[in-house]
Amino acid sequence: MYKIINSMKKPIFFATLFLIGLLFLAYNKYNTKEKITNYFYISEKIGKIYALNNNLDLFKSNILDYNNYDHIEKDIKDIKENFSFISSNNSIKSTAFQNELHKLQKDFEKKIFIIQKIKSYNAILNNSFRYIQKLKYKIQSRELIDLYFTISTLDKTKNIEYEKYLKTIDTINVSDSSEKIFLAHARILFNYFQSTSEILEEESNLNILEKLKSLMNEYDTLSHDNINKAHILVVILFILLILSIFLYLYDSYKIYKKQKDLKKFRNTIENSDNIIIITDKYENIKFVNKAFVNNYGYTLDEIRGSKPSILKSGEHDDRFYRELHETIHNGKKWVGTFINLDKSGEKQYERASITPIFDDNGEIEEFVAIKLNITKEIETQHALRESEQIMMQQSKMASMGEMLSNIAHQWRQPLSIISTVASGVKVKKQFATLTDEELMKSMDDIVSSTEFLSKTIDDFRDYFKPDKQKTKFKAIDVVDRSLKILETTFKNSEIEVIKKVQDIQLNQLDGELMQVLINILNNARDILNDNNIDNKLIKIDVVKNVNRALFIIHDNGGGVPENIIEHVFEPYFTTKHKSQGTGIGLYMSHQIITKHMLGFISVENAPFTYKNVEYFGAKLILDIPIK
Amino acid sequence: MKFRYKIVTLLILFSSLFSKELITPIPLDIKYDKEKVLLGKKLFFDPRLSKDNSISCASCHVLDAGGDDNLSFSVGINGKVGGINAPTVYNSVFNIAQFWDGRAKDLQEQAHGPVENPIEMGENFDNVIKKLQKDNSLSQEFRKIYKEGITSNSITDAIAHFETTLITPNAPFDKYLRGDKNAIDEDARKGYEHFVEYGCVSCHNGINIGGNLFQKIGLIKEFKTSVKSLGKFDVTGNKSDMNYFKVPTLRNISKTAPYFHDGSVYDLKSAVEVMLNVQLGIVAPSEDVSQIVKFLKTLDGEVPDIVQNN
Repeated sequence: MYKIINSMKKPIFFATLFLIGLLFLAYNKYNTKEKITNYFYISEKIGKIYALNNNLDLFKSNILDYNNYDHIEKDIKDIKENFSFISSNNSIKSTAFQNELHKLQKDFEKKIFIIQKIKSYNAILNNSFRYIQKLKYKIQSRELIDLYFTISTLDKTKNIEYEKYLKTIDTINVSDSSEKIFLAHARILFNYFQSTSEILEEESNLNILEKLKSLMNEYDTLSHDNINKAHILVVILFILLILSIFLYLYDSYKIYKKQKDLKKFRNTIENSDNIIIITDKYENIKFVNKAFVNNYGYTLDEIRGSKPSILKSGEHDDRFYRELHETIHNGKKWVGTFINLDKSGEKQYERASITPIFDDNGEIEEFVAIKLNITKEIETQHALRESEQIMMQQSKMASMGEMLSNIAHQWRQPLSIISTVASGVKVKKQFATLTDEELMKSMDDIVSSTEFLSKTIDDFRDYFKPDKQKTKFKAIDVVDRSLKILETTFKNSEIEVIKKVQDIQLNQLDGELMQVLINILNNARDILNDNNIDNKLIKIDVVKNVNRALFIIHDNGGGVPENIIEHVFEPYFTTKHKSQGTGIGLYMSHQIITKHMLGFISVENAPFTYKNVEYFGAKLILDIPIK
Repeated sequence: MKFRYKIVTLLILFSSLFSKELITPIPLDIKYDKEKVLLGKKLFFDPRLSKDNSISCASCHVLDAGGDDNLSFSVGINGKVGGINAPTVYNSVFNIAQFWDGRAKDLQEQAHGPVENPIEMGENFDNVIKKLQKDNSLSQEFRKIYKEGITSNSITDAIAHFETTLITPNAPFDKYLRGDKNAIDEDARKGYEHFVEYGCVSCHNGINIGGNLFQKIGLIKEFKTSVKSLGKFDVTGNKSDMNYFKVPTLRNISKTAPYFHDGSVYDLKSAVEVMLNVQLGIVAPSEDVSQIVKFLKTLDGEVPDIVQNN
């Protein structure tokens, strides 16, 4: 039932219910009216029978009178007609009533039979009675006169012993012809009065009047019952109708409220910054909100009925869409990123979720897609990535410059050795003082120096290795190689390196790690030089912490000023002189450690003790995963 | 008792008190179904209703002769003579029943009787229907009125309809009753007084001046007759119905001699005398009887138009 109510639109349901109720009421009213009409009609018929029966009774009580039997016949005919009318009327369902009616009808047939007899007796009695009145003047006999008096009161006397009188009449001897006729009429009178009284007795035993009255009462009760029932039904129906109106009003109120809520909801959707698309279950667009229109340039009218695939950019492959459709048609929510095209063909990036909406039967009814345009964010990201690359390049160039100066430092000594040895050999040869021994020694020095040069080249080549493949290496190796590159400058600056490296095997980007280390060590050297520290120290600790490696580089340069310590990893931030610093060294180190190696880099000012002397300076900690 | 029952009772009581008129006139107009009546008229005169196609209803109910055949006993097919006097067809619609013994409750039931009575028409309805069906125009006429066509029911119904129209209004006495005091003469008026006074009206009353009562013939003195019929007793078998006959109408009585169920008396005056004697034990003065006869003669009504015209 509820389903039916639901599937039909509620107002239609209520209207139908109301209409049915109304029709039923109308029918019932008509029916009731008919019943009442019928009731009056039938009770009128019963009343007529009652009255006609009175007529017959009136007739039978006046048997010594002239009568027009047509009237009696008409009464009889009317009684029969009324009876057949009542018994043919099927509005009376009570069998008790029908039985009583039928019995009464039978009794009336008997009564009519009796009335027919009485008719003929009446004619006889009337005539004889009248004639005997005339004859009384012609009789003298005492007996006859007595008889006459008896006769004249016959119709008013009860319990007359007719037999006795008839016997008396038989004993009377008369000679006069008038007296003879008198006797004959007397005999007729006694005979027929007897017959009449017998037949009237029979009639009164029928108890017709009582039965008729009881039938009338029965019918009245019956009809009142029926009419009352009908009235009650009408009242109930009326109440039901009113109730259904109230129900309807209540429902309308509920619908109104719901609509108000829906309107609010719709407004929210309409004006949401998120793009909202609603399609039917065949993915035909039913609704798009303002954000959609603003984003794509299509209006709702333009796009209604088309499929969202109209927005396809071609950036996604078929598998992408197949997975999407499988997900949502299986009733699941799909979440992902789209690249679509707007009306003018511009690419739009969006984060989207597509949710199937179910009807009451659990069937998919429509889909709602909610999207956030992230094109700007993506573009910013791209821009960032580009600028990062540029910075990377810049930092590389900067470090290359440094490297070149390092190389220059490193090469200066061997080159001057080679130059000195070679010019020494040349002078000695000119002066012919060159011994074979000396020559061999000098050549060895030159070879040794060139080997050193070659070795230096190898070291730098490693550093400039372009590939960013993870390689397996030991922590000590990367520290040593970095120090090797910086060896000459550290020597020139008289920096003592305190190295404490655990044996740790890493699988990381060694070139990049080297770049960071060199950068940090360079910074430390610069600080030590700038601050004219007497006893220049750089302490390098490499510690293993579960599956992470901690590279701690601590100098005694006095530390980073507290007001800038928070900004040291920001790009283009530098404390160095313009000619020296690019401001991207630490930023790049930060980027390499956090983004490329997924580690952490932090800086703090901390003290440390070396050979019972306490020093203070910046402490940089690289926390990188071993793998 | 309910109030409305009382009102209905009173109304009917009053109506019966005010209509204490013992004799009422025949209505001047009656409504009838003309098609059925005309078909009935044809059948009434149609001898094909009898076995040898010699006798029609009209043979014994001669419409120009008071509606009977003026014979003591009618003659049927092959000269067979009936056992009882044929009553008039005129005004028979007003009788409570048909036949002297009242064995037919109405005209249609009566119409069945003579057709299949061996000494009257001696036919059966199957044959009658076959004969009539050969008559195309008659068949058509039947079908037009009765969708079942020619059947015993439709035949007798049509005849009964025709007979309903056979009433004789405007008898001088009816005119008198309607207020025309000169419609009958002094003697007839006196005759009517005697008619009431002697008690004739006790049995002969109502619209048909008879016909609404069964009464014993020979109340005071035996009615001697050769006719075997014992009246209503033949129908009911009740001893108390012995010699009870339907009281005949006195309308058109001057035209319907011979009188009584045995057709034994040809003279109206004698008939009155017999009745007074046998039923009332009265030997009335000759003058009174003559006046009664004069009254009776004012009961001749007009033969209805339908008998003459189509």
